[in-house]
Amino acid sequence: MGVSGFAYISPSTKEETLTVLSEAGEKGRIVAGSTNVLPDIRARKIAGCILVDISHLRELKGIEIAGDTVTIGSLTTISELLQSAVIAKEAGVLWQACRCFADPLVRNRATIGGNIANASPAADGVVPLLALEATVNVESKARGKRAIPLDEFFTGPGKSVLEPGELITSVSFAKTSAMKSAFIKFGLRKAMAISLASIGMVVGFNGDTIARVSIALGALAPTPVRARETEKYLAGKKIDDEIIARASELIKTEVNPISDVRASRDYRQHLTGVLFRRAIEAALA
Amino acid sequence: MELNVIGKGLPKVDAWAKVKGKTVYADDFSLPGMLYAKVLRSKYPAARILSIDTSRAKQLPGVHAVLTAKDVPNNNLRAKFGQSTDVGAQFEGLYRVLAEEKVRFLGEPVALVAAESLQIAEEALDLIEVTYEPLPGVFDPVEALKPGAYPVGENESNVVSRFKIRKGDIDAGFAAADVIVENTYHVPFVDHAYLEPESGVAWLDEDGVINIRVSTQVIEHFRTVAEVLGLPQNRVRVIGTWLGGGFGGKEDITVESFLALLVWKTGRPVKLTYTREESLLAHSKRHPFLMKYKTGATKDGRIIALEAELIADAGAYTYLTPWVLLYATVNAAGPYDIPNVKVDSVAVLTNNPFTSANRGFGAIQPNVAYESQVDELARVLGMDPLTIRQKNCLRQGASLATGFTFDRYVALPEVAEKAWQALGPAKESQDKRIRIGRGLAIGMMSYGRLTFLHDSSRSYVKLELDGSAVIRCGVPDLGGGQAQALCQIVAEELGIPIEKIKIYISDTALTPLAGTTTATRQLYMSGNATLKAAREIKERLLTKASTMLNVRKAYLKIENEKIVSLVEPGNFVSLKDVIAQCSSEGIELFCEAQFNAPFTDIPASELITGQTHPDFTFGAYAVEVAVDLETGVVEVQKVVACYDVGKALNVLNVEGQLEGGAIYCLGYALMEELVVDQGRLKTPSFSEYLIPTAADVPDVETILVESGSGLGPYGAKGVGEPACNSIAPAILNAIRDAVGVRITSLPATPEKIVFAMQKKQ
Ligand SMILES: Cc1cc2nc3c(=O)[nH]c(=O)nc-3n(C[C@H](O)[C@H](O)[C@H](O)COP(=O)(O)OP(=O)(O)OC[C@H]3O[C@@H](n4cnc5c(N)ncnc54)[C@H](O)[C@@H]3O)c2cc1C
Repeated sequence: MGVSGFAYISPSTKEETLTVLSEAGEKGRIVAGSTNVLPDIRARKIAGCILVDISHLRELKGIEIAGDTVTIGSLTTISELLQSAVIAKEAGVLWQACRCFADPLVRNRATIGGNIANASPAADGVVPLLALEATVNVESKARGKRAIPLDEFFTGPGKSVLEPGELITSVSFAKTSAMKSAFIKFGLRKAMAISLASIGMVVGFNGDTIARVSIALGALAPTPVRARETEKYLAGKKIDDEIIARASELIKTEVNPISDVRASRDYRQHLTGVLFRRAIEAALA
Repeated sequence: MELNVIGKGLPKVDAWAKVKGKTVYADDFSLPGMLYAKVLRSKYPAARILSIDTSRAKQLPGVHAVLTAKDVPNNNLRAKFGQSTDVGAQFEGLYRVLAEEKVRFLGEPVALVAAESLQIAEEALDLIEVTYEPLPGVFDPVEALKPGAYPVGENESNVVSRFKIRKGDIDAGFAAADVIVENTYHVPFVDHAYLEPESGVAWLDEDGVINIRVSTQVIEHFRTVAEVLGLPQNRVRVIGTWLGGGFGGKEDITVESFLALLVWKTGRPVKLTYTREESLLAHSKRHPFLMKYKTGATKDGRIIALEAELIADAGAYTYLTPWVLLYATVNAAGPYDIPNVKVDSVAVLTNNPFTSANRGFGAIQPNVAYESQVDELARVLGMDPLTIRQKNCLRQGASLATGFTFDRYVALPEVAEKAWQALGPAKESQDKRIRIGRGLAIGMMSYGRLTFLHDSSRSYVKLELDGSAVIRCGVPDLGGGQAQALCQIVAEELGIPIEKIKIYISDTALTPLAGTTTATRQLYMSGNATLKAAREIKERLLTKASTMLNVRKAYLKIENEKIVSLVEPGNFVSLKDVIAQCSSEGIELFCEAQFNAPFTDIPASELITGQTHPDFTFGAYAVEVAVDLETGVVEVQKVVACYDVGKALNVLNVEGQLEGGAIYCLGYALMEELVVDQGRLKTPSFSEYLIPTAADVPDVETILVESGSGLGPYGAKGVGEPACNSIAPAILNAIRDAVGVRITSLPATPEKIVFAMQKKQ
């Protein structure tokens, strides 16, 4: 299938990228690993735009630690995250998510920035980042630098607050090495599956009571969401079977899944409770 | 008989080239000056075509042809679908090249374009203006059967065909039964999902012959293509490529007619390759079936009555539906000896994707139902799954409900027992959320085509002066080792190493026609034809050597490129010398032989009796599953396949067929479904249409029984299609065993299982 009707630009620095993007305006379309862009072109969901290929920009790659903060360059691939000792230690929830992302071939190309910008409610990179209370760092000629909390980033399936001309440069979050984490993906097969439901959880304990918990859910609402009510319910509680049972009922009221060809709304709702129980048990283990 | 090459585990002759990416598949081939074709497809499942305006598309620079039904010399054929004998009207159907007047399914080809590049061809498609008047359509076969239903076609009834089987007295049978189990089963549309989508390149050669190099299971379609163009049959040549999978999806014509029309119109070479999405949308599918079953048994576990009503969705066109339905009908009662049987089947046109051949060809759909029924009976009766099957299954001397009697070994009790026992001691799950369950299913499936099709195959074998050999046989190789098997036969018979044999396959101009690579027939048919040719040459060599060595023919054997005296091993002559002698004396060192399958008459009515197939292969699957009580996820942990293969010509290859068959229908059991809603495909890509990945597939243990009772060379039976029978019901039975619910509609998704468990509580 041919890629006709597209212009292609490959800027050599971040600065040049920002200039190109600002000139291209609405027509500009960033290309990173192209694992979403190419299928979209083939399916004719994208047409007639200027492809701005950033895949070789070194400035946007890599993982850095400054004090308590971990910053991941937007072009970092899922494979690189998986191979990173820093991610394994400081962001266990993200590392676990990377393990069930697509398959090794796709992981070698797919970037974290692309996963965020694509704004899928099922994005496996986004759900753990949401549980990590991450911030998306973006830049543009028009608005300069913006730091957008991830939970304010998405506005609907495939939609975000990102404006034309804006480039995601990195995503950052606080280390969680002192906390427990769990990520569970539920797909209809063991690899290369789109999440039917997913959960990412980061829990801080104070003795045997929960000091802090953040829970993010994927594919259960128009965007990845936090389970705020359940988090509130759990905060300060000592975990036992009764609490888990109640929380797993409560969390089902926080989701608003769709029915589609993959599964019904009822089943996705049912899974929410199951995945919650399994995630908290895994975090405790 | 001592065998040197047959029965070993030899790597395939074509394997290395494939692994290294050197095989030139259909789409890998190009010619100078070649144009690219695209197909414009209907946007509606049912509509009247009011007008087609191709003028803008034709004006686009780089476009060489835009064709619609008007441009096709013979657009509507009564097709016999690759069959050379006259099979009677009930087994023929309409083959329409491009839609005219009415479109019958979404994705139906409406127009063709050939252009300088793929991009231009795609742009041209956008410029073709078709005005449609949408029509209501009918999408449910049960609705389509009702009087006054929307007519899918023009003049023909929505009913494609009906068959029935009657044996004994069904009412008396149920009256005498102590237990009766009744269920309705449903199996969905599924795709073949081969690696290689439909593809070919065609050109007009200097002699004015249209050459079509195409990925096909049936090179004999050259005849239909000639008819479409109004050309003599000898002006169309089909060259089959090595296939990237067929599974029945390349049994019907795919791109051939389109290519030929465009070549004829433009005089230029043309390539057409479907995208994956096109392949999913618009080529044939496996028939969905609705299957109502009632099975009755006595207290002691004897099955005495079976009643089945089968309704198959033929989709928008007939294609091989009558044949598939006939297979389903003959298989409906399963491989059981039941005194009272009543089967009624019907296949119905709808405005859904058309359905045709798919590995298992109508045998595997009822297999899901009858093996579920037997399992339920066993539960009601408190019998174990093996005992009930051994008690009721067919044995040598017993007959099918059609009256066809098995005069050869029937391995069912043996394969069932071996598969079931290979699961080993049962284990409990350590995890309280997981339940382990086991299931067994047996099955039969024919090899060789329907006997009234009067099937035959031809093969040519020739010795070169240097002692190497050539085989020419028009067999398409789907990746199943079809070519390799013929090489092994010649190597065995003529005592030459397999490396010294060159095989030419799949070319209507140069290789003797061997018939289709379908119906699990090539080893049986072309294997026998090749064996016959090789033995004829062997006979001539031995005769000559007999005079050269002065030893009687009966005391000679041919081995390691020598002809040796059995009594005096030091007394031998090299094959090369015998060949040289024959050659100088004008003794023919080649032979073209034909093998004919048993012939029967075409069924004269809906009632099916007597022999319909040459023979059957019997097999069993035993599986162990772990079911997650909370999510409903089924993990298949163990799979054992036990088959009587007659004789394994190549052990590696037979194992490969069984493993592949297991995986093919493991997907059928657990995840595959083309969801079609009001004629619209809701699973248009591999993102929604899920097939198992390597991570989803357990090891498959294979147990080969070699009874030597097959009709193929050396007593071999066919395994290609039988291999995928029985695994789906074995999985359903294992789920039933694990969590107590009977899933009656495929695929057994986690969702269905969870909600079935909740409902039961
Ligand atoms: C076979 C297959 C399997 C997949 N499996 C999974 C899976 O298991 N889980 C999952 O979550 N996803 C999966 N995906 C989707 C995809 O791989 C991910 O969303 C991936 O992270 C996208 O990254 P990319 O670099 O390829 O993005 P691209 O395709 O290059 O871009 C995606 C979108 O993001 C925009 N974009 C990219 N980078 C930036 C940036 N720095 N700033 C602003 N906008 C940007 C692009 O303009 C585009 O709109 C799969 C895709 C395929 C093809």
